[in-house]
Amino acid sequence: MSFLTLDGLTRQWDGQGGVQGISLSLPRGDFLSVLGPSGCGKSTLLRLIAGLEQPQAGRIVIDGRDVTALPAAARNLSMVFQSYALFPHLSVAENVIFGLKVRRVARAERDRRLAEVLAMTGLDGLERRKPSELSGGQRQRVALARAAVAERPLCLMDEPLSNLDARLRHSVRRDIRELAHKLGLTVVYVTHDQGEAMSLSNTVVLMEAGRIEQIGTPSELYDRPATIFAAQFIGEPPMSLIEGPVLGYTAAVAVGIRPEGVLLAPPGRGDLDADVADIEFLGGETRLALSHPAARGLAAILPGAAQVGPGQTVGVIIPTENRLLFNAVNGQLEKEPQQNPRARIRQNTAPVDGHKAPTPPKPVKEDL
Amino acid sequence: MTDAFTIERRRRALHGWLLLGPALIMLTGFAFYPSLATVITSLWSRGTRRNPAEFAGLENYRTLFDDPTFWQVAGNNLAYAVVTIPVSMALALIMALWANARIPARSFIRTAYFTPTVLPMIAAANLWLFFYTPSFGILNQIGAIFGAAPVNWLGQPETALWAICAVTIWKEAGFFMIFYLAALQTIPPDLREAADIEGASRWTYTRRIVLPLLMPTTLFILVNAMINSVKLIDHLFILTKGGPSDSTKLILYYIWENAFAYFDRPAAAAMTVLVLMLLGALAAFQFLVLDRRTHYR
Repeated sequence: MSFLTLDGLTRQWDGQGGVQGISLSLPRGDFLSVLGPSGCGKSTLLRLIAGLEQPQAGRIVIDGRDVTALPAAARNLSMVFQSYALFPHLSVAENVIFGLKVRRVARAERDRRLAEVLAMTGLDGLERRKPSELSGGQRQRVALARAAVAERPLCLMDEPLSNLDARLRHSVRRDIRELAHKLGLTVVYVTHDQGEAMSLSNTVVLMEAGRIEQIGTPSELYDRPATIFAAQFIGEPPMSLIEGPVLGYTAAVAVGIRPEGVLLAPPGRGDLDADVADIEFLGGETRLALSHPAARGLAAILPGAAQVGPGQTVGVIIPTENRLLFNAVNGQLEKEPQQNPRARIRQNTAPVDGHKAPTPPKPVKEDL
Repeated sequence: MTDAFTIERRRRALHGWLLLGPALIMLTGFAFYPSLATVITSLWSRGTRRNPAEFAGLENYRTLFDDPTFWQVAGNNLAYAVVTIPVSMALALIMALWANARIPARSFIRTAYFTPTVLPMIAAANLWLFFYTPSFGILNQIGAIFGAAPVNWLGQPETALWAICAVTIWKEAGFFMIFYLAALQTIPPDLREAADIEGASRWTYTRRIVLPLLMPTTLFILVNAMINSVKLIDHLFILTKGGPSDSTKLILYYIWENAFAYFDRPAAAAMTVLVLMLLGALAAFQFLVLDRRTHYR
């Protein structure tokens, strides 16, 4: 039974921006991330669900109740704002229980829930502080506490981590996941950070230009991107795209490959030869940016330090089982690697220096 | 000993005094010295060519306290302040909340509200003189439509002070509205949305969120309104000249009369000192007591 259902949701301004024809459904307790580049309409989508924006077409159903025409307060949801939207003149405790006071929850009940939520978010002892006396991470937790104390089944989060520094982002990310799990919340989480979307959620919605590009689990989005856009948006570095003819396909095909699926060989012994454009040593691995006239964003990831220098020419092996074939015209995924009949044949020709062709997901890279 | 360090220190001190200089000279010439001179004048008797002024101590103040007109004027001014300050502030707030909402012709409304502030007080007073004129003034003509008897608003002690108050409120509310409007626009719309999701009504949001966030502005306006309730007397010169029978005479007008109509400078100086002390005490109260209970961002 779906908990949140969106059906053909459309909201545009003068025929531009916003979202159009968004349909999805979400089971109770799911953690949904709405991911996309800035301006793709993901915040509009969240505001439509929240009731802060009215749709021009479509329906929103929460927990079996059509809430399309209801005001925000009647939709039984809580929201965490990007700016936190804390009331600057109220203390932490007053901020958290603001909604309970508005809804005239009895004092004893209020105090109990406040204590519970403050303990859960690690804010005890800070009750009397004003938001201006808190650090960014603490403010963020107050915003979370305010959403949690409402005990509403649906929680909307609008880029809640974007104002935090990298280290803090990581720990608050864990807190959010824990909190959502503990309270059994259904969460819709808007972000432009794919790391957050992939690590937090069960389901990811990838949006582009007001439309849904792909819906799936994080691993589906990573392993089988539905379109070239999805392939190039997700992954760090993103998927490389190689023009079909280079690898023996027609010009209507573009071949996608994850950098970790790329293998290196001596020049002339791989599927194609490329120049090393840039080397990034990251400790556990080394990332090579490769340049080839018919490839976009070609890269390889090698374990440890690389023994190649910039400008050097290397052979690049694109193992067939790691290839994804896209329609070069409309960008749709055409074939999954397993369905490719040529995969078995190519597999045996790949290794050139005695090593066996590695199997994903943990390929062994060759040193040159 | 003039080592480099001492020279540097002197150079900095010199720069400091140079920067301080203009303000110091202006304030001394036009604020500190006149205040001091006023206090001194108030302690000396009125001098003429034959009887030079002599030190009188608090004699001038005693005379003042025995003067029934002084008490009437003080009472007038108190009533004037008690009416104009809260009413103009409340009006300003209501107008600002309205002009800040999403309504059609918003900028026209803002301009319209602000117009009285742009008008010089003398011009405004002349306008209102026409409104208040008995029989053919606008107010009486409107009244006549409904069969009301003509009222000489400025000509009788019972209504004159309230008529003066109305002009002041009309003049001040638009000015204060601009401050409220500016403050309202610094409140992020997120707060409204957060309150909406929590189910706060418009009234709850205004009372619990907007008004507290406007407190610094309210305090600022209050200080200004209090100063203006003593300072703003231009319209008296046009409308009533303090009459009838002193019913609209305010303290600054009385000071002006004493100083420049009766040439009783010590009496005027004594009153000025009292006014300065009162305003000083009010300002101290506001900044020391109210300030602590106000949230500044």
